[in-house]
Amino acid sequence: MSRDFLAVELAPADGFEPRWRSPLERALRDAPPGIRDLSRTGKLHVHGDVGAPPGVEVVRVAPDRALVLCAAADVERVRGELGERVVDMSAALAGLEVRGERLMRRLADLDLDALPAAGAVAHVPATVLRDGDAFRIFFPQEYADHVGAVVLDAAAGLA
Amino acid sequence: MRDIFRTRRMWRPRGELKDRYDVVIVGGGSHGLATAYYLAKNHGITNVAVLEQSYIGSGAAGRNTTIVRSNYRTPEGARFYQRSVELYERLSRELDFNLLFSQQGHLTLAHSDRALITMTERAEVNQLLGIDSRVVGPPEVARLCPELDLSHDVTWPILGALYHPRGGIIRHDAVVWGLARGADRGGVEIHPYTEVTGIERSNGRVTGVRTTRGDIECDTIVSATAGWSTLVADLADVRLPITTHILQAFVTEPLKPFLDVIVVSSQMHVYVSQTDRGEILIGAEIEPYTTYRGTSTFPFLEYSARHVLELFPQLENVSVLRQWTGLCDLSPDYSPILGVTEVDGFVVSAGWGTYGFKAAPIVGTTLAELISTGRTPELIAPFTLERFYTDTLVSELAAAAVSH
Amino acid sequence: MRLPPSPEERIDRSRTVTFFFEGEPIEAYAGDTIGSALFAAGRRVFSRSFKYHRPRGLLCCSGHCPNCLMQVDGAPSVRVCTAPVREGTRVRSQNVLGSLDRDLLAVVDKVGGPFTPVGFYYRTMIRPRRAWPYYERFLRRVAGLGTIDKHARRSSRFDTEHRRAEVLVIGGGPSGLDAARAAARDGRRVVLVDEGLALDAQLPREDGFETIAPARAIGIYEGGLVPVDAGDVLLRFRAERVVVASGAIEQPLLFPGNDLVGVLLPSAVRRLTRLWSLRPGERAVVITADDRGLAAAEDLRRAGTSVARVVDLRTTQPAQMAARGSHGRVRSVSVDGDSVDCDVLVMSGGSQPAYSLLAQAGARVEYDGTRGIFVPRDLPPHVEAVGSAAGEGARGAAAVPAASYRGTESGGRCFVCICEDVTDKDVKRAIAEGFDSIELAKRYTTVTMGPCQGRLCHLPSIRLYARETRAEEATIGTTTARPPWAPVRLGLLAGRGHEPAKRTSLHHRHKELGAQMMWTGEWRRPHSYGDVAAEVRAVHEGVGVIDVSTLGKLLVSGPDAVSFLERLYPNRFGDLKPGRIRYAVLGTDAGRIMDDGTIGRLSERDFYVTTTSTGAETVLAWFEWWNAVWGYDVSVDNVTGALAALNVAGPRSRALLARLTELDVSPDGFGYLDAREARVAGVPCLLLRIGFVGELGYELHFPSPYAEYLWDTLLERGADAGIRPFGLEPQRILRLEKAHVIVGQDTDSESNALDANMSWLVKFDKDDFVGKWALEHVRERGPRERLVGFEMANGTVPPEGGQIVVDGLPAGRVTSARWSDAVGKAIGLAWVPPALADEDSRIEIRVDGRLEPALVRLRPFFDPDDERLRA
Ligand SMILES: Cc1cc2nc3c(=O)[nH]c(=O)nc-3n(C[C@H](O)[C@H](O)[C@H](O)COP(=O)(O)OP(=O)(O)OC[C@H]3O[C@@H](n4cnc5c(N)ncnc54)[C@H](O)[C@@H]3O)c2cc1C
Ligand code: FES
Repeated sequence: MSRDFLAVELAPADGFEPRWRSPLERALRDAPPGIRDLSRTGKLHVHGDVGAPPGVEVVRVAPDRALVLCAAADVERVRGELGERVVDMSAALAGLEVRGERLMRRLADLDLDALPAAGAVAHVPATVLRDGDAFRIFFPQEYADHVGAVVLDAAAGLA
Repeated sequence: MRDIFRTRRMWRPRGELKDRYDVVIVGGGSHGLATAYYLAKNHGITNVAVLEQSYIGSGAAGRNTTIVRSNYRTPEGARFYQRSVELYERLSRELDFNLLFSQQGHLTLAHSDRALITMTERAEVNQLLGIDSRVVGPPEVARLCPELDLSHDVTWPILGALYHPRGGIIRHDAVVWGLARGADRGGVEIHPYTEVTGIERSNGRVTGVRTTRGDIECDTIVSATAGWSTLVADLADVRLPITTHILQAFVTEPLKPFLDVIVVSSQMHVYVSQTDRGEILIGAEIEPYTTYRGTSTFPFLEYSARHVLELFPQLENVSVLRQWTGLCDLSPDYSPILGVTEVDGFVVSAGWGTYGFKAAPIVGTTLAELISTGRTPELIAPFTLERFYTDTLVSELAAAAVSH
Repeated sequence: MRLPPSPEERIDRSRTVTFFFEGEPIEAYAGDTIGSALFAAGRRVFSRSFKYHRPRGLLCCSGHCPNCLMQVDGAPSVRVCTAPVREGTRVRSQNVLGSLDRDLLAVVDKVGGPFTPVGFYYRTMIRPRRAWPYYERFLRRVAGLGTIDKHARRSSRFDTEHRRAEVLVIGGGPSGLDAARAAARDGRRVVLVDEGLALDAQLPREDGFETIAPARAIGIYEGGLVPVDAGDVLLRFRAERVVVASGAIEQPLLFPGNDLVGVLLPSAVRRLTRLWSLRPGERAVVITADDRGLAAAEDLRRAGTSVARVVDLRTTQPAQMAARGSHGRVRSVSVDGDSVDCDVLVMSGGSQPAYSLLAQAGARVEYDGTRGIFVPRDLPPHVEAVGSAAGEGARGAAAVPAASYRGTESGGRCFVCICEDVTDKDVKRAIAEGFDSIELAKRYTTVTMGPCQGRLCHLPSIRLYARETRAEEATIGTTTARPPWAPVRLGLLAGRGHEPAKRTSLHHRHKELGAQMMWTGEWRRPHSYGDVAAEVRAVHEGVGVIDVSTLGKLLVSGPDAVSFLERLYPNRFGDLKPGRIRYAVLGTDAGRIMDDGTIGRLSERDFYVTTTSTGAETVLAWFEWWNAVWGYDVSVDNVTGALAALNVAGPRSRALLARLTELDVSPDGFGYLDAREARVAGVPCLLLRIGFVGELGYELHFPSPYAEYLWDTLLERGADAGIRPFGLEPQRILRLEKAHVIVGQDTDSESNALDANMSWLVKFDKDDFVGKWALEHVRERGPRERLVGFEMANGTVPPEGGQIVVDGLPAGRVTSARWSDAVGKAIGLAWVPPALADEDSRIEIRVDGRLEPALVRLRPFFDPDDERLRA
């Protein structure tokens, strides 16, 4: 058996049209501009050392484990390139982007000048990446409602 | 009212150590002092020294959150603690010293079905042993503690509670001083600032102790050193299956009467009472790591505050005045280790975790009896060190973890 | 009445603010504090003391003492001398019976009585025991200061912000500023916080570092964590280096009458006159051990107060000193018999470095006998002290005042601790009673335990104690610092108070279907959708579907996967064929049951492990820990959230599935305990044929983003088969009918697999597995108790947790019990003594205080031969 049951991006099949739904869809319904749902990013866990194939980002989340991010459409390809010890975690992690250091500082006890890093966001284990003023946060999707609510609440506190 | 204006010494000033005592008690906390007191009072054994490395009550006895109750889960535990509560109820008069024992009632909240099952079990065991303890539903909880937030739009709605009317709080220092005075008047010597640094043995039995103030001979050594138990037992080459953790607590500024029942939430790792000084006293669960270093932490304040406000949102503007830390000696089954060891004459009271203060009187009476008669009283037979080798544990995991 | 405007003043006379004191409007200027405005309005008594209810007035005007505590907008114990005025604020006094000026409880001060000597409560009210609850209620009523509105809800917003700084400077006085500038010049990222900057002279904005005020550091905790109270926001600073420039705290002198209204510390004079342009009084006397008192005298003169006398303790050492008053206000002071009238008495007993933050950070604090103060030593590596916090005598030398001054023969009370109303007599008495070490004396007298947290009483009490016991101050040491450095509100500590909660991808679907939700660990799950019996029936007769996404799900892969699992579990896996599943129980090293679940073999080296809903994290940590210990070539991945899981169960589940998948679901093609991979309704699934609820059923595990889609499709396509979603409660009944165990409910931390009737899965012939020795021991000694089924003789459902009673004592316990329509009986599981663990044994269960008979059953109550399950 393979592990296809972990794959999120589906080839069309026999009359069914499975509908993908983001775990953050409801929580971010009333989100102010600047907060974006990134849940459909491709996310892979890799054990051991990883070389970075083109078009992906690699975040080391533990000494022996890395989180690899790529476009959703590229998951299959990247999974192939990374070899055996890869698990497709695209469905396991929700993702969102927030803007502004101040907001980020209300969400996480992380050194924002030393990102990417793993740490707690809204008391939930997460991986955070930074692009200028924007921060991408990936965390277990079962906390999506909680994290969504905390992010919107923190943003409201700064509005 | 007669002698309150008269200045009377509580105890004799510390004297020189003698060369020999019948019994040396290591540790001047509640257990050590209670054992000394009852040795003198119940058995007339007075050639006894209590050796304390710092001042009396400097350990957990002076730092604990003073909950006294007997609604334990196992019949062995419930029976044992019940006897202790009964002794405490009489102790103020016996010592002629007001211990400010406030039996205001003790409510353990249930936030899940699973918790309600455990509480039912405790209540049923308790009732069979004659202990006043019952499961109450939300309306009764509201009546007993109208200050609680019983709404459902909270993280942990309150589904019911285990109610123990005779549970209470007591003034910890008073217990220490009352027992010390009682022991001193009974003829026992109390030696503060005297640390035990070695235990002498020959042919498998104890012969004396080394201290920072000189060596002493003795026949019996009682280690009542709570958070330091493993260190002291090591001196006698006795290995105790105990890990030491820190437990923290804090108080707020004093308030006029707000809360007149003790409220415990195991799920939220928090318990709340109001002391007779008016402070709201808040405690938590032990910190998960093992240590002998007693530093207070900030996250403890944060999560406890979060949880307290979930129960009592009215306290939002009340300020924290002081936080502190004590050491806890945790045994694998959350029950104490009490009585004889493989070294003759080396008796321990250990494994008290977060719940030993309530046991001081019963520990004192039973250990005194053990020393005097040479036989282990039935009440403490289930708590021998041996149980870890015979696999007859007395699991209080469900009742002791956060409930103290 | 205000003094003429000055450039230094902090009030804006063009803007007035109105607030209410005891319901009466008070006019203030913008820039006033509640305290300064009340003072301007003529108020001199600000509080009543804790025990004697003596009138107390402004003492320090710096937020250090207990004298100006009031209720402000419902918040208790607010120091009004530093609380800015706001329009409409409601201010009330606290701890008075009557009014501040006429407090009926002040009678305690006059008559003394039994409630005054230190520690009186230990020696009274012991007999009769019946009366104690009444005494106790009285004691409680007189204790405490502020009151709480019991019906109030949370109303303020508090936020938490995580900050970083290379250098964090605490305190914006001259030395703090110097330190900040220097560090900024070195190119470091510097932040300076100060608790009072907004009150004292405003800082010029400086380049190179950030200033935050008013913002009070409340502690220096492990890892360089410095929480800062910035009003409505808690700033959690993590700093590489912390510079403490917290200054020094002015100390009172100990003499009779030292607590009278009108007795001031120099800081009060400075702030009243300079910041708020107020004249403290008409005629003043200054008694000082340092230059601060002299500066205060200067301030007083400028404010138009005549300074009748200045006693400089550096040049004169009076033997006697006492203040006298009437109605609690100072009227005169006599020094060595020489009495001077005054309405202001400034006392300055030198100043004590504010070392609390340093001590808490790990510094040692040592008594410096020549200067009569405690100074911090041996600072931890990342912490530094500058200025007077370090003990540097910033303003010239001070005299060491006497530990206490004797008054005249009949002199009034001399307070060591004004928070707790402890007098010098109390301290002496405590020592005489045997509380002869400073720690014991402190606890007995409660000195330092009040709202000032020892700021004004720690040093004086130790000096007094040292004199009385003739101990060297240096040998006395100090108490360990008990943070926080200043009182901090619970609301601020709590922040927004969001608690993490886990939800499955179908959470909202359940709500839409009207499910009652309940907690299981961090998860919320449907209890039922409103009709438990119908949901049970659907599974027995048609088809039901339950969301089991909360199951922990782990992938264990690698060449050593078999060895790894065989060593972890008592089960065997080597003989498990790919595509097959086995029920497994995980044990601790002591042989106790830790968790359970199913393990499916996906390929030679890939296993799919499920755990209980609440056990996933523990099991994962357990796996990772042992993997590290043993060093196997295995990787463990937690895919709990990646996959949703549905259990489709009931006699019609096969037919429903057949409509949605091309997989051969015939009994031969997909048998009991088989695992298959296939698309269901177009979604890739791992299908497990297992049956916790006892009917033919399939667990579908698939990517969680498709959960709603697949759920909707199943309900739609199963409608004609009568499909119903079912919740946890129906599931519990169904599994109980099969006597299936729920780990954590039917077992506890002491249960082992043998006593729980699972010996079939324990393979003692394996080399080793976690807990093997312990289970061997259990096997040898025989069971102590056994987990069995029972049915009630008369249909009463006993409580879960109910007791099996033998000879009037607890002998066992009910772990599960329900009424089953399918069985037509009240059934359950219970731990019973081995002697009662045989089929048909009669046991008695306590129900509502009565004993109800029941019969032991060792086989499932429903479909005992698993015919339906394996169909
Ligand atoms: C924060 C906190 C809250 C708690 N809350 C409760 C509660 O609500 N209810 C409850 O029942 N229990 C509670 N406990 C537990 C309880 O306080 C302890 O179990 C109990 O006090 C231990 O017994 P003791 O009083 O004799 O110990 P201690 O007071 O710790 O006495 C041991 C003494 O031994 C001395 N010592 C150690 N080594 C040596 C040596 N080598 N030589 C000489 N002397 C030595 C120590 O200095 C110490 O004074 C709590 C504990 C803590 C820390
Ligand atoms: S006068 Fe307000 S705190 Fe001292």
